[in-house]
Amino acid sequence: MTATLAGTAAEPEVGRARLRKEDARLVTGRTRWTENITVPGMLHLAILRSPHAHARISRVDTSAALREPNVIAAFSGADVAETQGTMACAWPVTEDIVLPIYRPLAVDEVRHVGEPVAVVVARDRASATDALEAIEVDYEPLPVVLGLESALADGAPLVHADAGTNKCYTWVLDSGEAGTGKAVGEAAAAAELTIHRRYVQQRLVPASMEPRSVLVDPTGDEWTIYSATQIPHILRFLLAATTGTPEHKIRVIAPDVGGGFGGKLAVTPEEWIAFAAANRVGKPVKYTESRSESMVSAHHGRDMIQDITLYARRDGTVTGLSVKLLANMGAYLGIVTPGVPILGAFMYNAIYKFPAYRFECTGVFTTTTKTDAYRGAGRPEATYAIERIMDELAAELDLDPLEVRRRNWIRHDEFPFTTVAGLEYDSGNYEAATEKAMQLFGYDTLRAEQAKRRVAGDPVQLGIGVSTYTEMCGLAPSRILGALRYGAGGWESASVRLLPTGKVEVVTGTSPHGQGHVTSWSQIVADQLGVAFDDVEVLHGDTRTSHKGLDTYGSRSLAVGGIALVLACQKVREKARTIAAHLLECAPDDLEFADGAFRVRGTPTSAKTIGECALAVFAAHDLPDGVEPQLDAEATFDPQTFSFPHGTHLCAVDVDTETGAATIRKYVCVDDVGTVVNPLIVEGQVHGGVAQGIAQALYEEAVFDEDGNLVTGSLADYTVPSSADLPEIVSDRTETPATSNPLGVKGVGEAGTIASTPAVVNAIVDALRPSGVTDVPMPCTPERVWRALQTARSGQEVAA
Amino acid sequence: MAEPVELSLRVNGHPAELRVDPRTTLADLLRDRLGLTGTHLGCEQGVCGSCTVLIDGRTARSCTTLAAQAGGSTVWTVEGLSPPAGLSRLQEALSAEHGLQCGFCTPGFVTAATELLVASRGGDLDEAAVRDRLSGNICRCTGYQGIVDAVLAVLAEDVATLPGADAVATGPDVGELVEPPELTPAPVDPSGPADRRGRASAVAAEVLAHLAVFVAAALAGVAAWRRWRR
Repeated sequence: MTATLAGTAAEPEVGRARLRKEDARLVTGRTRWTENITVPGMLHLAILRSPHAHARISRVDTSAALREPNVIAAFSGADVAETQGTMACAWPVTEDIVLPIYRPLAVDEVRHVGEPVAVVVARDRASATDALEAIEVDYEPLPVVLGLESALADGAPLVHADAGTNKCYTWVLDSGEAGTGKAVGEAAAAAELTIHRRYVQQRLVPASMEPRSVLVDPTGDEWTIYSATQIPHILRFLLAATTGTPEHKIRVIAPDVGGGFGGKLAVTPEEWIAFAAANRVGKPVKYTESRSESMVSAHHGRDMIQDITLYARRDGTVTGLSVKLLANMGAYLGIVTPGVPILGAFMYNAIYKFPAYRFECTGVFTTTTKTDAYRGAGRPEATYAIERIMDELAAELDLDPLEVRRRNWIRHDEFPFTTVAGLEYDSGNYEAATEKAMQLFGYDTLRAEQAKRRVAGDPVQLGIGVSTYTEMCGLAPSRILGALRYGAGGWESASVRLLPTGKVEVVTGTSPHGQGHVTSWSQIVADQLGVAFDDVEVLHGDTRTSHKGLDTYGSRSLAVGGIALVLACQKVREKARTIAAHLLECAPDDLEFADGAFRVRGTPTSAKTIGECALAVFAAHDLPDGVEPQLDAEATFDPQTFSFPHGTHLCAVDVDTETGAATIRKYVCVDDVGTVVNPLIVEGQVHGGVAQGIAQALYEEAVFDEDGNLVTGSLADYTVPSSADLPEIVSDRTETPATSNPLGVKGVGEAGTIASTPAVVNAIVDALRPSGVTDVPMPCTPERVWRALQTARSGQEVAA
Repeated sequence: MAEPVELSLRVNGHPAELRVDPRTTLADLLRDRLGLTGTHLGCEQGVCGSCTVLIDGRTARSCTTLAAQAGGSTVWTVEGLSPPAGLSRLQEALSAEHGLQCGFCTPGFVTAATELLVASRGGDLDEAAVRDRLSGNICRCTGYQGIVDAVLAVLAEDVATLPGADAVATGPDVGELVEPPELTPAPVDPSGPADRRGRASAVAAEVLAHLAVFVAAALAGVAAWRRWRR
């Protein structure tokens, strides 16, 4: 018997900074990205894309392309109009939403630069790309519409003429009407202080390092599809549902996937086109986008105008909030495009207790690349707006920003707390996270230095930015999704099987692309079954082995998929208990389970390990009557509520008032993501998340010119920050376990991105506040900071 | 079709004799002809650094290098920078510091860090210097902290045994790696806001500084290129 049977409790795996099982393969380049996969007879696809933001297609002639070397097929949207299906939007947020027809290959009209128009299939990628030049397309340009407000103006050119409007939908959450709080009108009437601000969420590009790639292999009456996707299960379902292909004949594999950030939470036209092409030629077809194609055709994120009005008393108590949002859909609706701002609707009230809230969002079509989920999806925008305007309230009342927050946040002894947006926050401790962050940051010392430098008129001013955020993770309770008109549920599935030698195979419905699920899931199973970390194998990302799942996005994998895993392990344990009791000739209730073995209470030497049970099941010579010879279990978990990570991020920025350059001097974050399975992985998620939030604050913006061309169409123009552009991030945690799930976990994938953007911009504005600056539009480039300063100074002069 | 080019080079220590279309990039040659798919194409525009390899001991973008340009050269890819079994010290450190998540950019960082570590000759590079020298490679997942920490962890060690170290050590003189000149900020009058001329001179100084870096880099590149050809 092993040492554990002698009574030495093994150190729990959950909580250990295990190095990742994934790393050895990745760090040596032994990887299986979709682009690395080659199957016999494989052909290559290239896509001709629209150079116009809006045009009628009057003619497409692919005949000359067919005569080019190595070309197998060339076709346009019209050629496959009957068979190519239509892209699906899974989240029609209102009954009267405009759902435009969205063809993978444009048939008669293009509505953004980069929209696919025609394709070539050839023996190699270079030949396919070359032959695109032989395709003739006649376009009749139509007027473009790019701005959110101009698109809604009377007489604006219509993106979808049939719709008769560029308005996609208007969605409202009103606490007075919903019964979750008072009416905002009352708060407005009684307000001692009203602050209105307009914030612009610039358009961002998810920009995962691995471009999107898809390989469709039709064999017999089956299709094997490799795709660089976050959502293999949803891809299979939607492909079946929208093309009439039998679902059981489709196998989707998400092999190694190189980052997602929501950018691969998509069922893409390119996947449809590759599917259509493979069917047309009856051979495997692979398509991998170039970075330029990716920038212009993979979906973008953010792009909203936020009009936000805060009502308060002069003692700093917030009494109400009104949010009016314009959200850019782009030209078409992706899988969750309309729902992204709606996810934010529940987060504008953040950690605060105010009683009245109204949110109204209007989705707007423009002749631009569609938007959809990008890390945080609606919650970063909400958090930005509320955390910025809380600083404005503090400035108005000459209070410390943290003091204003303290006067409004939910105290730790007030949980569970039902918010004005109707969500029940199960747990949290904003005081503890803030206290810890302030100490790590040296808040008081830095405030003192700031005061000194203000008095001295230092040309480089110090700014201190605060962000006390919360977010909702664990997407999502299926019935809530149903109430929000989302097209699917939010459960997750896991199965666990014991092999005869006591090793464990786990199948998860989550689909990792950098998050380290193989490692964290192994830790959870090791604890649940009392087996060694190295004795657990985690399988994922192939619908043939993982037949059931809802994939990875919205910080859901651990908070939903991890719980399914726990439940499956519990079922396996109970089966094993029956078998152990039989082998030990006792009643199941006489057994206690610890460290991987069942022991008879009071007779600890009489024991069976779970591995011994597995072997007994394999032999099946001596099982209790009616017991199946298997030690497998499957579980599906549908959460009853969301989980709510929170934390306090503090940022110190040196702002050069002569050049406008803002340099982050110190960044401290204390996050509370509940129970931590693997601190190394959690810290990595926080670091990467914070980096992306800083990127929005300081560096990144997708810019279109007046004709609708994406000016920032490469990684040279769209400035994803490098190591030299980012600070060291000091991260720490408080740990308030979620009460809504048995692990106490909350989720961490998006927290950093949600929290950090307002922390950085608040710091910049804080540095310049004595000069009268109240906003710097993002990204806060030196030029924009400098201009904000000049505008504020000239305004002050005029006022004087 | 253009005439194929005959190529002879050494890749990861082994000879390779090939005929390629003149427009074939080194990245495509490595990936499609030699099966070295650890070299990743993230942008094919020479920006992201995922395709970084060592050519004659110096980092290069294999996506914007023609295969023909590498004729006669020694090329190392991530496969060659990995021991036959297990991990190199650098790779171990990347794992230990959680310097990779999705792993797509990682081979480029392994290559760039190998050059950095060997070329620094155990020098006392601080965090800022390491961040600066890794800034040619983009990672979207990690925020770079784990990568920087991994390089700093290995910096103090004997890196002569790192796979690829010999290639870097015998590459063009490390002294020719360009150090960015110090930026000279415009004089600032603390008693009041700078005048327009002051700002203009600051901008001009910055432009000149960047130009100087560019020219220096170009000259160093040309010099190195000539040395290689000899």
